[in-house]
Amino acid sequence: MSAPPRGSVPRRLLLPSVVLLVSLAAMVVVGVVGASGDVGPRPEGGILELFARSPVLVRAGEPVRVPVDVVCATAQGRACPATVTLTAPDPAGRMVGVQAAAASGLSFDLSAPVARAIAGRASASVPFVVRAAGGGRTAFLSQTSTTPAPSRVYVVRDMPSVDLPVVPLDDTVDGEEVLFLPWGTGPGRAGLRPGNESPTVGPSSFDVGPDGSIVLLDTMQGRLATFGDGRLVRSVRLMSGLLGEVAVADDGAAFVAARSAGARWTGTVRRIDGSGAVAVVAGALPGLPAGIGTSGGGVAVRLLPLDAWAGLGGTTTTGRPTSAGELLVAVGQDGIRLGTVTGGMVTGAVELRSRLRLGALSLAEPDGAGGYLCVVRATYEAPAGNQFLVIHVGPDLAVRAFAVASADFADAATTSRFRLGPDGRLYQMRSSPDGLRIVRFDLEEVAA
Amino acid sequence: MNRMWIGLFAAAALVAGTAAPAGGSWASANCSPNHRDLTIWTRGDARAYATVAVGEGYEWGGGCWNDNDRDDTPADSDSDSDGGEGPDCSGFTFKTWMLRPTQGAAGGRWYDRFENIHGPYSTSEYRRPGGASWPFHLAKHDKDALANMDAYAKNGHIGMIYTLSTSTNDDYIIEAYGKPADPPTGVYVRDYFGQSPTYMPVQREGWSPDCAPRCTAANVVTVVVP
Repeated sequence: MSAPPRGSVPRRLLLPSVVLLVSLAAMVVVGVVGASGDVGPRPEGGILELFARSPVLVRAGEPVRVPVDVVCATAQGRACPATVTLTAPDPAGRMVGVQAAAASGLSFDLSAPVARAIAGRASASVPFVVRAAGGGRTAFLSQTSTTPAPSRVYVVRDMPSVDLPVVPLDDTVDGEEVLFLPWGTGPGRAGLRPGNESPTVGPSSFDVGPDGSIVLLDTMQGRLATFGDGRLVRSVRLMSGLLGEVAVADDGAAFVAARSAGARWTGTVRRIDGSGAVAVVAGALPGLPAGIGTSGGGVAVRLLPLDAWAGLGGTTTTGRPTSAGELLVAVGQDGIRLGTVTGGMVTGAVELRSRLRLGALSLAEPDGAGGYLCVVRATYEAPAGNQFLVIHVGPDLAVRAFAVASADFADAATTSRFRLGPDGRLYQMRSSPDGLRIVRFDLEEVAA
Repeated sequence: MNRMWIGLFAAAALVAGTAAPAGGSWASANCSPNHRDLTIWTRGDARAYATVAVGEGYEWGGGCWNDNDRDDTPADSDSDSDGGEGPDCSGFTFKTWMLRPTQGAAGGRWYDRFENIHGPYSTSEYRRPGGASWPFHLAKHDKDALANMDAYAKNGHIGMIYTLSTSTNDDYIIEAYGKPADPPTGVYVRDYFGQSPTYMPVQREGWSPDCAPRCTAANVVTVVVP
């Protein structure tokens, strides 16, 4: 699976262009990177933002490219020139920067550092730091001028490939409804903003508590509502319009991660305990929350565009911390890669190739036995449609998959449509014109 | 009692933060026409134009905003077109794509952000372009064929691709999302690509290369790290 290049012009527009491989001689080696300047990403009324897409997990011998994109805008709304520096270990192991002008389609080829790292090993990783400069300002992937912990590409000697089965469109499993809330205002309803030249907005996230209760982030009603046996058992007031993600820890406390008020790229995490007390436990995470997970008593939030998981103490990892180790995931439109990092080594690396075009990953979890469970959206051309694929791949590489309906009448966070409950069952938040449903699937039954 | 109402009104006015004169709207007080025709329009300039709008308000049928990173009419209803700050999603795309104000017209036109114009296209028209002569068309459902500032449109919403997709295949979408989301107009992480064919990719015609008008070399660069 190769990640699709993005931030580039379409291929048909590239025909007059020449793909230019800039040799070492053309590069500007700018030395060891460090924190620079006291500037932020909003220079003088203008904007400087940096994006990169790490391949996350590669196979030894593959070309390793990191596409990079810079948004540099003047206060007047015109594009401005910028440079990008990627810093990675040189042959002597020193972190050395290589600089290029920001341009559409820019990518850095990390094949050489990755090849050196994997030589004689079963797995390895290569750290790298990306930095943009433009308009006299500097921005890292944290969208701040402070150097973040390096990103990492993991490389493995062996990564078997498995083809995903093609589940026909609409050949879906219904599941068991555990909660239904009609749209509307009130304790027994779910808030909805019908879209009209804007998205239709419903609850943005949910999770399943240790006692099996359903915890719903009811965005439009500004509350975190807990339901047991289909009835409201608790409602905690939050601000309206919170497009956040919720996770419930083993002790029953709920964590809600969302963009900080008025921010472009800063996240806030709130903890809501059993008494309903709300406390901000992280107020300035360096990125937009786009995924949340708990493991034991801890919580971690995926931050974009840093593309790292951050604990509340600020420590970041490339993969999501789980009881099995750091869970690595990379998804492209033609496949998924998964692996687990323990003690700096990657185990259980596997590539799932898809003949269907895939959308975004909605869920990835270790199965506790060396395999993985993941949910991803798949699209179909004829007849046209989309549905979620629930995929289990075992340590023996046996793949089982079934499909569930998208049921996405209302917009919700991509990584909040599914949760693996403490009972080992898969839960889906569905929306349709009549209301919101939480549906669960017994994975053993439906996969048999 | 009267004092209470006066106090409430004053508080509401403060919250609204508008500069509107009595009886007028925010747009009538702050917006005016200012545009010029273009022969060159680039994805880079379109993105720079759009990103300045992040943090501003949302107004159904609207198309005027400033650059103070806040919604100046937060109490204004989303569902009318009474002169609040901000664009709606289709108006935001229209101004960002620098389209002409006549439906189906080719060519480009730059609009000042203070020009209150929505343009002639609703989301249903972006989703189903009127014909081969229109200034945008449906694109192949393939990320390799899409680029910054292409859009995903459905009946009811449209948002533009802001940058590279994420490592889990989501997209950063710059869009007029609407209140009470914070920001009403901003960059969100979404899987509109996966929601095909409800959402379909749409491309504006005739983008000039970002280097225009002084292009001298290739525009795709791979830099080898030693």
